[in-house]
Amino acid sequence: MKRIVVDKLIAAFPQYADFKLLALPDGWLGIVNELFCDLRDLQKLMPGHHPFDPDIQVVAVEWRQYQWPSHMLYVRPVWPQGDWTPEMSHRLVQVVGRFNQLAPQICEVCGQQSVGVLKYQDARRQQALCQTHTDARRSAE
Amino acid sequence: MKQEFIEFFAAEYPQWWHPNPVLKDFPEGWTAILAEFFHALDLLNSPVSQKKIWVSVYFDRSEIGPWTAYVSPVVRFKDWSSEDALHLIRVIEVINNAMSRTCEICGSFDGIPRLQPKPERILCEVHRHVD
Repeated sequence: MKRIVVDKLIAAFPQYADFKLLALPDGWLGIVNELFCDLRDLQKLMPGHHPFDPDIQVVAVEWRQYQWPSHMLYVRPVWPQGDWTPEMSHRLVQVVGRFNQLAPQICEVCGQQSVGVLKYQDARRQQALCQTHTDARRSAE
Repeated sequence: MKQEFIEFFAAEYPQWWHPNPVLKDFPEGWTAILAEFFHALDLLNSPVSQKKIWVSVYFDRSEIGPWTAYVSPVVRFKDWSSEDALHLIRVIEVINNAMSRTCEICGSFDGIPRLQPKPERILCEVHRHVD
């Protein structure tokens, strides 16, 4: 992701965004933004939550890079376990699972639905791309 | 980690052991808490249903020393109950808490961070000056 985009994500979601996002595909901006919104909203499920409560960090986020999928999201709870409810835990599993399921289906360049995975002949990591960017990459090879 | 423990974890929990090769450097004193962690994750499987790998586990060791465990759900969401999810939260918090207070050498629960020399280690009073 471009630095200017990551800076904006860090400004919007200081509890969850950091410069490790620079390693993520540009096309993941939309789903990453959605992910961070969902993580931020987890605290609304805490008993006693008030709408004017400040944003808190509920989980720590870690990104792992693989050959495929390109990156996978891992988390660990930061907020004390005694404050986690079954509903909140369930929602976290849903949010993380959905992200890891959807991300490989997104064009890594533009964020549109991908049509497949482009495998390069050299050591470059394979990429999920939409038709437009698949054609563009193949033309460039 | 002693070879016998490496072989144990590789045989009993290959789904979490092999993707984390850093675990070969896991402190000897933490062998028990690692075994408890994997066992607790395995409890997500019901005795009567087919065994599944519910989560992917990632152990991170920072450049200055501390270890941290992270998880990522692998089984589809519809198969998770809210109790399963809460169990996962508790399990991951227990291992991370344990790694912050268990002596890396003897496994006693009164370890505290020894910040110098690097790498940082969690050691009890007895073993603080060992290495």
